[in-house]
Amino acid sequence: MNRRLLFAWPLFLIVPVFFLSSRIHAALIHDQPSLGLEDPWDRMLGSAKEAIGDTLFLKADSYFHGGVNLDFHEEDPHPGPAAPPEETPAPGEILERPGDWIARVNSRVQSHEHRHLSRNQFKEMLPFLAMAVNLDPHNVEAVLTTAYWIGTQFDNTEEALKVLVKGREDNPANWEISRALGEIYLRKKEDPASAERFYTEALGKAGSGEVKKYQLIDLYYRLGESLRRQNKKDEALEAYGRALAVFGPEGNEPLKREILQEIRLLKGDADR
Amino acid sequence: MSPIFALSKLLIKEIFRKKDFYVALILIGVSLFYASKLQFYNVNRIVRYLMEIGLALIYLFSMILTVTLAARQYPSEVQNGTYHVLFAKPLRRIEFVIGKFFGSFIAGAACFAVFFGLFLAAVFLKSGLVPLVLAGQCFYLFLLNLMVAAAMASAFSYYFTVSAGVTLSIIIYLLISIYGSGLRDVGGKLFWLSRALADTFYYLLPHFEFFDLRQRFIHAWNPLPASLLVFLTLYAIFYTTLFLWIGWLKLRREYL
Repeated sequence: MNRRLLFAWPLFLIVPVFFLSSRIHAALIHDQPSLGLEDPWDRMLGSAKEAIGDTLFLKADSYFHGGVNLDFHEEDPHPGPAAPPEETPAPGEILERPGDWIARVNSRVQSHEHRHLSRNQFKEMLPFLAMAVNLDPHNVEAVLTTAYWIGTQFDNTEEALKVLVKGREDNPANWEISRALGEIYLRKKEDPASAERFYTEALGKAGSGEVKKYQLIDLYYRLGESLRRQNKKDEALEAYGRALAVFGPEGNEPLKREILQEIRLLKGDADR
Repeated sequence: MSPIFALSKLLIKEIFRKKDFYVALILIGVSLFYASKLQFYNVNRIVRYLMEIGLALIYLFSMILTVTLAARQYPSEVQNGTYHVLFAKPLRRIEFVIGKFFGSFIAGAACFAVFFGLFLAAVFLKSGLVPLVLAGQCFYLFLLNLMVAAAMASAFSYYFTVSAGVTLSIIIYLLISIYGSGLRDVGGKLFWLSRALADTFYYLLPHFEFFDLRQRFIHAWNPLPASLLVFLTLYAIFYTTLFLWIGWLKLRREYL
């Protein structure tokens, strides 16, 4: 009997060690700052989450082009409005690199035509955009693209707002999301006061980063518009004036003329 | 021909007797069910993501089932000692090679057919329509894919152990399927030895990506022309024959 107890003594330690370890564990968890691992995706994927999110965003782009991966092409097939017509591929044109017979068979089996989804097919990108935004909340381009498609193509302003509000929380220094929020409040929600707040916020954030001239002009112009709609004429004139001040000698003439027209109208109203 | 069919029948019974097929079927069914229930921004009838998930799963499981079945036929006969009993019958070695391959292929094809039927049902319930011509071509080309993969795994089974044969077959399949089309371009940027190896793999190994019609099926492109289907069929038959010949070369030198 004593021999059995002699060999069994470690068993008596198991229970107190178990309770002690759970107390130590609870104390450690309480003292540690939150690591943000409440999200199941974080627990499953860790830091790979963002890489997968970015990949899914590229997948959404591929879906927009009918499943064709644009990295097949060395040059962007959308060279922009300034490109000469012969550089822009025609719809349905096969963009195929010359190669051996294996590459030619591949180009026949896997389609490499240049096309975009039709209007009733835009929804097919949504799962990948949703996952991209969820997995990598710091991918601002994914946030803006998702909000654009939901708000514009599906006319679902509330969902677009949710995406942008979440994006704003996750990327507090980003001005583009604030601008997009201002755009929704101005155009869709008809709430120029909120739009003014977001455009002002965007201008404050844009001042600390690299912003192109035309983007700055656009921000001042839209701020001016939201102020005008609230009948804040003096502030609107100031915003329009700042937009004009940013214009260089080679400015966007139609927009310049529009701003000047707005200024004239406001001054005309003020004189009455 | 009857010895070949007799061997094949045993393999078809084997795959449905074991639990692997049922585990794969349940996994695919559950995955498709949950994937079909997902909602994105209150927009209805989104189906392509479901097709993407479904096809990836059924391709992967069908390939794994077929390759593992083909790769363990010869080694298990040797291990169980039934190899000598089998060849005591009037069974030629070429009939053994073809019979084992054929049975593996038909068993894998049967599994794939069941999975594909389940997938089409899920897509039809979600979207209300299925492009039948593209579905048929997708199904047919993946059968050719399975045929080449089964022949490859079968050939490796005469040279390697089961684990090595399965691993090698799956690595080659994944390598060529994912990177096959760009292998030569990538190899061009490497050291000359790596470039030579990449070129060798590129030209010698079968290009499994030829049989992958998922992009066309999911995104509703035009079906393939009949001439291309004929070419791909002949291509698959060529590689199947080549692999079976390689396997037979090893087996014919084996002493009983």
